[in-house]
Amino acid sequence: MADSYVSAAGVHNPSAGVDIDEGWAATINANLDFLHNPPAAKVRLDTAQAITNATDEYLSWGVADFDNGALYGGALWDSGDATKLTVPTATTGSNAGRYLACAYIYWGSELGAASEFRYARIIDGASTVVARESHSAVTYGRFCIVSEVVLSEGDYLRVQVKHDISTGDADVRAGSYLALVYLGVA
Amino acid sequence: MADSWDDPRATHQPTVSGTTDPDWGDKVNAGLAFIADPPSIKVRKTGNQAITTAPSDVLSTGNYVKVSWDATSAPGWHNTDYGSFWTSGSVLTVPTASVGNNKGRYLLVCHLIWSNVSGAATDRIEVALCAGSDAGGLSLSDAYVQARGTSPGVRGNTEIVVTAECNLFHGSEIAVWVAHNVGATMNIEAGSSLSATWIGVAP
Repeated sequence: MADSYVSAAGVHNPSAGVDIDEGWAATINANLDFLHNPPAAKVRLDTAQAITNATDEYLSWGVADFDNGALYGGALWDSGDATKLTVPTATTGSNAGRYLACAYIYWGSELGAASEFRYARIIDGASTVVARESHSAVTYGRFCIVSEVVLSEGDYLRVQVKHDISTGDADVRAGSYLALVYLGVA
Repeated sequence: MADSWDDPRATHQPTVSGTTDPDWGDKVNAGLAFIADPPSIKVRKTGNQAITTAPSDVLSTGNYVKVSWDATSAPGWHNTDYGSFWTSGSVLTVPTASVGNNKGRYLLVCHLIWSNVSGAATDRIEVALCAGSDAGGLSLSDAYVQARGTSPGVRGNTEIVVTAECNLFHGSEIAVWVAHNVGATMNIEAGSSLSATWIGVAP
């Protein structure tokens, strides 16, 4: 397993001596690897998910397009807990920091009146709304929700959707996705 | 103030002399610290801002107003290690580095929460995310619009996310302009936010 981010200045201050400190050089290498390939995952629906009228529902992802979490303490996505992307706990250093979350929600062909809505939101943990798109259901819906968010190890994000189209269920189509990538120290 | 990005190879080429230059080591430490925790800010609104309706063409430049920001406290942030982006008002400014450079590619993300007002199917909200170097205070010009968002057929509790990646310089400004033609004054509400983060040296 690879090291997560560690402050190199905390390992060795080169101004204190001209010799390269072995531990410092190893930390530099590990940090470059970490920043070059930081914790990241993208999960998507491989089949449509029907959303009941007037009901908040979490999207349950069917497949991971990529997930490098095993390098840094564990996968971000677990098919047995398929609605979440979770920041893994590092074995060395830390995976906590600023993350970029991006959700693409491709609604089905069901339309509503101008007074009816569809929304999708990224939720941090149990209930904290990170960002949300909400629009009239009068026309086709394709939402791209992006947010920078500070996450600790063990924190998780989910996508929750809802609509009030009065004619019945509405689908979120296959291909909709949630992606999460580490951007930097918080 | 911490050092901004400053290429370590300008200080020392290890393959040339075979000895270790402590100044180079310091640059490596500073460079990694900069890349791991670069210039970044997320400002947010703590109260409402009233936006009056645009009675005619909602896309007319004169109908747009700038969104003002109130705080950088959590869930926002402000990394001032490389200079300050913002103290108050509607405009973020890329700070000038004391050592090295803060210019480069920036990721911009704006999330606007509108008040619970519904309009007609023909009503709309327009958002323009602007950034650039404009001595005039970042006017609403196509030269500075990095991305736009819209919400046709406005339904209550409208929320819009607009994002862009763009090349900015020391002193470049970032602002959000909005307009709508719902037949009532609407608020941009607390919780709305704008973030800007350095993500790499420009090509």
